[in-house]
Amino acid sequence: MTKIFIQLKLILVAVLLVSLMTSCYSDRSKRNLEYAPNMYNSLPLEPFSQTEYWETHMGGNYAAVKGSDQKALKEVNFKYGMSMQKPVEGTVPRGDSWYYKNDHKLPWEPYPYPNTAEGYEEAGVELDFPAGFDKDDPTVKKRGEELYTTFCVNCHGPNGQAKGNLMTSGKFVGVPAYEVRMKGLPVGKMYHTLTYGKGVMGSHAWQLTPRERWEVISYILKWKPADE
Amino acid sequence: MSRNSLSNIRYTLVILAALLLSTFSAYAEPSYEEGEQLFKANCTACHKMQGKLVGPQLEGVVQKYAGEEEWLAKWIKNAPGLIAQGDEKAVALYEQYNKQQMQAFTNLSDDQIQSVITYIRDWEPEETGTVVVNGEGATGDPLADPGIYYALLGLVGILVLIALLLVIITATLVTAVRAKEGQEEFTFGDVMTRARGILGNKFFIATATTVIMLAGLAFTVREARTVGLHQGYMPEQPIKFSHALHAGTNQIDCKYCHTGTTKSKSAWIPSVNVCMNCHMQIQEGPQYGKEEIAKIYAAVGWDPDEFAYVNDPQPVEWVRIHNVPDHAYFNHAQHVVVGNLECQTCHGPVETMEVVYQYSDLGMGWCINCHRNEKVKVLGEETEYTVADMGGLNCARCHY
Repeated sequence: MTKIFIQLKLILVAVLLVSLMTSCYSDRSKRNLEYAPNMYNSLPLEPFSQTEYWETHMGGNYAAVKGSDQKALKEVNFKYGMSMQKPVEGTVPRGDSWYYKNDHKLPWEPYPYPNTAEGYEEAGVELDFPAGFDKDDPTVKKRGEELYTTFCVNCHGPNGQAKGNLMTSGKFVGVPAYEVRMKGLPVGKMYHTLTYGKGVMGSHAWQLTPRERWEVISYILKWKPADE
Repeated sequence: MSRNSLSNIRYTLVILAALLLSTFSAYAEPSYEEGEQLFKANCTACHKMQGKLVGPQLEGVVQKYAGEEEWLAKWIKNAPGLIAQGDEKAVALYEQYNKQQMQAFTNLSDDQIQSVITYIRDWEPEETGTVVVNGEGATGDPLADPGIYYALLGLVGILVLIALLLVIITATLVTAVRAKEGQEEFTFGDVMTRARGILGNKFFIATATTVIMLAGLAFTVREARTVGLHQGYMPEQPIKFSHALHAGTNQIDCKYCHTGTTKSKSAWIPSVNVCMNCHMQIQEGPQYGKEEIAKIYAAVGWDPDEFAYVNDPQPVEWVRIHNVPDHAYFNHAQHVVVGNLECQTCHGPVETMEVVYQYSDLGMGWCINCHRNEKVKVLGEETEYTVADMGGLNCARCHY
């Protein structure tokens, strides 16, 4: 009998020593063990979450919306089971209507110009800096510079010469220098371009609020050649 | 001054003038090189030589308008003008391309436009001797290959066999020596008896038990502390997006895609249209070729050949990595805008990560440590106060 115990002890020591070297959480492609996951995962939908996310990805014991309600939710309120949905067409975020038409503030009206050649021309004629927005204010320009170095500098470059990192490495082509393209370009057209994109430039409306778009424009105006 | 030298000077002048003239006329002649430069500076925003971009492809366009070069030059110089004048061919083109207008290039001289036309006419596709990178081999992580583990296992097996062989040889030798000296043969039973002598020793048993218990306790405590923490969590994502390439090599600001870090609680996962800001043009990656970028196109419903959105978009199911527990409130904007923290403070060297993993454990101890040590910045200048001095350790600061 003692012989068996001795052998068992030896095995136990070996197992313990080996397990001390490793840890329980060894497969890093899976989530670790969670104690009381319903304290970790939100009952209301978080931004960028899925209605059945916790069930499918986080261990299967918790879901914001259960069972049969899921199907209805996915079809009616949360298409594809996502919490991130497109706002209803024409929605304007509260306090965020920062386009103005002929100095007249229209706080609850969505951007009126369509994404067409005519819309571009119209915006060029009618759209201007909003009333009460001081484009020469240094804090506005500073904010514009920060935004420029985040969102524009990759292509348009630190000096507006279209010598950004993506351009000099040859990965992206076709961005003109500001001093060429901005000759006689009204700010309304710049705003329109930031909103919808133009040519190979995509829309930046997702990243820049209307106010931020005007701030960027107030900054890049320093590279605009003087009108003759 | 003699008459001879005067005529010499006149002669030199004539030659100089001729030279000057010849350089002038050479300049006026349309050149391929000048055209290439102009093309790259002015046309590539909307045109490619092969394949559609915003505008149609340009290979063969000059040949198509053979005999109408004059009209082509006019069109390049001022397309909107031609359309406005009601030029038949111009209006037809305008209608054909969904009223997408080509912009005017009145800043180019007629000679420059001729150069561009020359370039387009004479352009030929480059011989593509590109090395096709194998998608499998390009992943580059040798540890991901299971073969290496089998090889290691085989090696260990061979070593064990050698050890066994040596033991047998030694035992045979010892037995031979003992037999020669007239002693008893050395048997396996002898070894076991001696071992039992040692293992049966009470001191040995007591020591071993203590060691095992302490080790077990240490192990349990260490493992229990990681429950609920996902440090190192590295799931496979639906698209093999490389942060090392985008944030590292290409130096794209984190906030370009994760815009929410300055605006909201959530950092935001970019919607696919943000990918399209660059990938409308960049259709091939250096590592996985067209395969991974095609997944973006599939999700956003983009047809790269048509250069248009054709299908309904489908969501990309990214796998969430970081999750601060619901019972603790965390806000990105607070830390990035007011706290002025770098993304790397919490997320680690993301710009070097081929696959992103959770760098910090995101546990409460980790939060508190930073709140205790981090000096508060006011208007960009560091003060002597820590976050804890401002109530950063109050329970209700995060748990509410």
